[in-house]
Amino acid sequence: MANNQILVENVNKTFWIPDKAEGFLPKLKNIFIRKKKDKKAISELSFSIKEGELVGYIGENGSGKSTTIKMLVGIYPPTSGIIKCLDKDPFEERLDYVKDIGVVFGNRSLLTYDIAPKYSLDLYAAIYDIPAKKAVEIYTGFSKRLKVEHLLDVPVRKLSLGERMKFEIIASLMHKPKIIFLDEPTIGLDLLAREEIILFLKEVNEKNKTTIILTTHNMDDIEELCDRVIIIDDGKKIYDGPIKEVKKAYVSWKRITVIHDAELKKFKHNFEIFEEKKGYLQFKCPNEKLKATISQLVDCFDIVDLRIEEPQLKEIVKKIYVDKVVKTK
Amino acid sequence: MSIFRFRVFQQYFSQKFRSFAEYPLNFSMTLFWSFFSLLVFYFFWSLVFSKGNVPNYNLSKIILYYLFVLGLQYNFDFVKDIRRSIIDGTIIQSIVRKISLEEYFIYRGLSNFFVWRLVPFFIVLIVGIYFLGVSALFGMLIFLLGVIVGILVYCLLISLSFWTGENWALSAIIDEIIVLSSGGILPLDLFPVFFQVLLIDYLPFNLMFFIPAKVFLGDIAVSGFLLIKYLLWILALYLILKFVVKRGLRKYEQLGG
Repeated sequence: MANNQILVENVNKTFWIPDKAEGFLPKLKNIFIRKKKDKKAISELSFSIKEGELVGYIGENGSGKSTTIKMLVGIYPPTSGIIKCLDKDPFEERLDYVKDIGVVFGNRSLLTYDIAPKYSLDLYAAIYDIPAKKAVEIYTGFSKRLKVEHLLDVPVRKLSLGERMKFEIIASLMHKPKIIFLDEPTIGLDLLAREEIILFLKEVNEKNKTTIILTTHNMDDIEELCDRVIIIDDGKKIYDGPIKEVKKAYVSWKRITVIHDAELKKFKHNFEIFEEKKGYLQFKCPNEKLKATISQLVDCFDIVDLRIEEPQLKEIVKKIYVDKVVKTK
Repeated sequence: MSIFRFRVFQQYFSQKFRSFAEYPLNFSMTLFWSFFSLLVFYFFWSLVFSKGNVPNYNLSKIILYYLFVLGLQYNFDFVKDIRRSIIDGTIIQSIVRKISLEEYFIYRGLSNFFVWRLVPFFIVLIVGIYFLGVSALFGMLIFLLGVIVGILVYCLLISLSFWTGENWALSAIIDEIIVLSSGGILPLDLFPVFFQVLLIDYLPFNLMFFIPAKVFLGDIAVSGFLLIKYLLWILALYLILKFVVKRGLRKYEQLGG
């Protein structure tokens, strides 16, 4: 398909892992000749991503999302199947390919711990052949935007997690990549730092048409940043489509919150209650009972405020994981 | 892409130097340890020479040999750091950048050497010129070629981790064999003839310390043949490293996020 920046076709990835031997002699033999067994991490995975898309790639721990990202950035070759990113094989043409991508691993820092981040940024400018003067302009600009300009000279070990992550993102963007892969970029960050990073990434996407692939356990990140979501479970794709549609497909209820002065009549129901305290009631209402329930609420309470909300993406994804419902497009 | 990009090396060197400057005590302790070891060897060899003669050496010559070898010994901490990064997966930060792994290993090794060994290098040079004259200068220049050989040898040692994972015991044994085979513990011309032939004629390790030390002492002259030998070994080791890294990356499996 034209305009596809990433194309993944029937990809499988199998790892070899050590197999534990039982009994004294087999254990002794295992010291010298390691028994190994297959572990299939990815199974018949296919999808494509177009230029400028914002895609959330999600799954539970051990579902294969990090393995997919590592194949897409050229760290592992697939066991079988085809991966083409920017018309290149990421593993076989790694050096030519990585000049056009940016990668952020939330749990593995690229900044040198003992020295100021500007020196790590200078190093990355040299690696990507960015002239020194231009590199300073670029990272100073990004630092100003992310409000960390005053920290360019502070050793990394003295920075907070959020500040470090901002510099990691700056480093991955200095060479104007066409695709950015973000693996858990907001892990452990406070609300403010997380929001600033998400806003910044949105701007980068809008301004440069940069494709962004985000893997995270934080569904709020996905909901705020991405238009499309790919859900993976046990190495297989179980959903691929717009976030709006995943909501439509899986949501059969609304969250109702009532704030009231007094209970005029007993509110009779068999709904699942999320929270109940004096003057406050929040519960889960099936869509087909919505109209009748609202009438009953007006009848039963002296209402101060009434909110009817869609469930959050995290609640939907939790349900998908639990049900393991296959809704592949 | 070029094999050696000076600006990238300069940045790695500058990073290493800045990290090193954060902990100056480490440097003085390492320097102290090198020269303390020299004192131990002095006592040992004084005892040996008091009992008889040693072929090819007198006491002052052997002490100058150990000044050279112990003062310039590069038991690279970069080997440990990169090996650890392969095992725990942080090496992937380098795999996804526009730099080949062999290039990355070499820059790390060279910057590590220059940061840790530049001061001892000049101490050995000055002492050498004072006692031995111009041969000391040639020995130091040949030693710099030997450093490239040594870094490539250690890079190959690092690359083993792609296959073996956690292998500190194996690495420690190989490291000791490299030090021994390079003349870092005992001059190779004091070994039995079979080992002398094997280590001097057929393996590259002697180019790291033994040959430069012999040039330093004025026992071997720098010749075109010697320079060609260095260049051929550097080329061969580089090509082997390139091949091994390529195969290692194909083999590398670091499970999980």
